[in-house]
Amino acid sequence: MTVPQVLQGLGVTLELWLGSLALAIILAIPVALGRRSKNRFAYGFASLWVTIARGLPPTVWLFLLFFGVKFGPTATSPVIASIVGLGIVTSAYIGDSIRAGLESVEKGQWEACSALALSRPTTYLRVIGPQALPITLAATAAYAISLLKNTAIASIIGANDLVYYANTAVQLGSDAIVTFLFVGIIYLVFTIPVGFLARTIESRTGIAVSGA
Amino acid sequence: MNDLGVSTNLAHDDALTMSALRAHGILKSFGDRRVLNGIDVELAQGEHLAIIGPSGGGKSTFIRCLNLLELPDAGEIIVHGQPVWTPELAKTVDLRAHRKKIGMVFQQFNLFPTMSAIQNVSFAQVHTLRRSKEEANDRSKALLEQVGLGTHLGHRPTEMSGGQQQRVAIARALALDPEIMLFDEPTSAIDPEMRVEVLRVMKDLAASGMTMITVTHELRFAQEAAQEVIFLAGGVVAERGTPEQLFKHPENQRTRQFVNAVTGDLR
Repeated sequence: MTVPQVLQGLGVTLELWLGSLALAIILAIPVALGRRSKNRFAYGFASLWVTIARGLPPTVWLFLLFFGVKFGPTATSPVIASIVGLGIVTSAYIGDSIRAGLESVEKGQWEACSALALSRPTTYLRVIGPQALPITLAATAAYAISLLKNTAIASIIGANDLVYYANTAVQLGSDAIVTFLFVGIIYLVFTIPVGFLARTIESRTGIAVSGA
Repeated sequence: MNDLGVSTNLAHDDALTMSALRAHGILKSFGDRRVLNGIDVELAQGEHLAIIGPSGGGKSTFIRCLNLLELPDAGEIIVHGQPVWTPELAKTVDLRAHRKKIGMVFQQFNLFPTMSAIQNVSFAQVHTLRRSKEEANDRSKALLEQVGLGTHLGHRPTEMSGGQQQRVAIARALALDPEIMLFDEPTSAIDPEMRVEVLRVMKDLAASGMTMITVTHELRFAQEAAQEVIFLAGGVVAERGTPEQLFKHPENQRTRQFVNAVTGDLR
């Protein structure tokens, strides 16, 4: 196997990244709303979710889902287990960034919506959401970079991503430094533009987002 | 419709037979601190009540209780003969239905920063009253022209002065055709030279027959535009009367001290 053949794993890496990012965002919305809820059950469930999602290492999540969850006689595929595991972990972080975005909007904006008898969905989607979006987007972009890097652990349960093919190439005689340098450059091709996006949003909104 | 094109909503006969708003025995605490200690207020249709008093006396909390932004711990609120709040109604009260009838203008304007002036005024018409965009925009243009901002339809809040923003906020509240308007220190966050236009709009509104309650430190405005004034301090109505009585012949020592402290030129 030659070094460029490592690119065969790019599709799976992108599938892992975008799939788990989409799942994380979908899960993060109820997590954020639950963490802001006055309903004790909703708040308690969302808080428990965040504690467990953040508390376990991503590798443990992947092993638990890969070996522990079966749909009938069929084992979970490594890619599906990785998407779900990484999605759960990242949902806790993105959920808190959505919550932070919502809480950054001035109380008076919520009160104006109430005084104008706007419905809750209209309040969230049309008034508060657009104001919360810059803060949420900046943080989410930073977490998206972390997530892409974390997809590299999916190879330990057999997902045939970039790292999986790189390992295989090294085992078949390719130079390890050259191979993983090549893989690193491929990751940078994706992380640099997303990092640039995060910094642009930060500078335009004056928000400091911790680096991923 | 009154001079500002605002529907006053009630037939004249109704105005004679029932108060527009009655709040009785309103109690409110935040934690251990009692902020309102049994407030009674009654307004006739078309009446303008001004509430004055020291900061922390409960004025804003009371006005916020009237449109249920704060829920009273006890007492009742009756609008045009219909009870809208009692502790027994707490679980069934339709907050949105109540707030459609009560316009609220805040000290800090609270305009939506992502929207232009006309979008701010039209938004709740479309989403709360389900008016068409065309109808809402026509109404918004008329209201913004009436508050002197016909040339600022496309301006964002950040492109307007405090006085202009507050006039947009008044137009936004009026756009829902409220039966009662509440103003919570509407000029406190505005530079003195910008207050005149806001107060003019409010005076016109009061003169047109809108039922209004204004929390204010502008005693001259209260004297000229309100029919009744209450002095609220320590969570109770310390004194009430006509502007003439309250500002020129206050009976309560605290009222006298407050009026003298705020302005001496009214007496």
